[in-house]
Amino acid sequence: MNIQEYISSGIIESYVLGVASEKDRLEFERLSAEYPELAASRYQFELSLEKQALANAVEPPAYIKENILSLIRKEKAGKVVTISPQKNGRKIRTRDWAVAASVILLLGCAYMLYTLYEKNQKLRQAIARSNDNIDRLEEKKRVMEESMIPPDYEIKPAKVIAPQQDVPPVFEVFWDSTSTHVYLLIKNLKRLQPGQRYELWSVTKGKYQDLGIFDPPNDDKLILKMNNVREADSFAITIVNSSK
Amino acid sequence: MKPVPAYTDPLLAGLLKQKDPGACNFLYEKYAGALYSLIGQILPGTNTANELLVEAFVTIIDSIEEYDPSRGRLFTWMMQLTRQIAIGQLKAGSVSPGTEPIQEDSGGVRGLISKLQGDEQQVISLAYLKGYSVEEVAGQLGIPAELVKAKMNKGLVAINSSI
Repeated sequence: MNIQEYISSGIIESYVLGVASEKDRLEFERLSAEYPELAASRYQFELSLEKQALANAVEPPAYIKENILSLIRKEKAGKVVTISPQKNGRKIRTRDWAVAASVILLLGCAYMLYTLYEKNQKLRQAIARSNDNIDRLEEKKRVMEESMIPPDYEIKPAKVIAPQQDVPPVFEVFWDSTSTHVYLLIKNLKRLQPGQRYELWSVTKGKYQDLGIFDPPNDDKLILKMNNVREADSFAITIVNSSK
Repeated sequence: MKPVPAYTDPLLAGLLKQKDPGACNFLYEKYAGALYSLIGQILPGTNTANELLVEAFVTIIDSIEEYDPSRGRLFTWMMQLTRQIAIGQLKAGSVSPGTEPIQEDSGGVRGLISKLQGDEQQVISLAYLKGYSVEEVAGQLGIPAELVKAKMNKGLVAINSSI
């Protein structure tokens, strides 16, 4: 491998700026570990890029800093984090919905459980310890069987709500890793005004993907099968008004 | 006057993982302007940029576990993440119309791209600022993917030289 040729090929800039293909990216990472001169050249470009970015900085409005820091504080304290309506309104607008004033963002727990699931033992301990889900799984399975969900799917419970004082815990999302179906078990979901419905989103790396819209349940045991989603860091529910 | 702590990337990342207030504050103070500029290079509109900056920082801090120091600097990773968020918004297509851009002239990477030759500027602009893959650029311009890649590489090397 002619490493000098590789270094001057443009791959470094491509990788650092984030425009390299997956294949090129993986090869670059492999070679960077092998060739210190490649890693050094990458580092130099990164430094220049950062310097240039800092020199061209544009100061944001002052209120944004406190917005961000207070969101992080709330997350750290385990409270439910609220997000502004416009954030979800982007996609909803394109579907002709108007977003209601209050939305609910649920962070943290689902993401944590999702990463823990990768290590099977750790997840089981975490679930048993924090959510007592192993007992609940039997009940969920029974409920799901009643709702005609195939019982031999591997369902991962994903607890999504960190309780807020005035909002009781309301639902659990079951994420079937084999088929990418998302099942939503709803209990005690807050009743809405007429014309309002709920929308479920998956959040992956800050990107929101719509999983479906549903009406609040009339009784305790409602299971919804939502649109396919492949992976998610967390889930969010918003309230939407039908503008029609 | 309080001394400014000197964080290495792994140390800063470790503190951000715990959502340490001092580290979060430092991160914002140092990098908010650079990321805000980057967002503005990809999308017009102050309102959008403001929202996305919040989203970027929260996502960066929430996903800090994904940052791998062996693969590069923290700021590089932050830039990549922020760019992904901005491009995601661009592709979602609903930017509020009629709002002012956040910067008068083109700074940052966009400025560097604007100094390139026509061909190279075009392909890199599509790839970096619009999030097109090489195949998508090829399709858009009606030229083979290998040619796109060659032009991109040439332009990227030129960017590094000019920086």
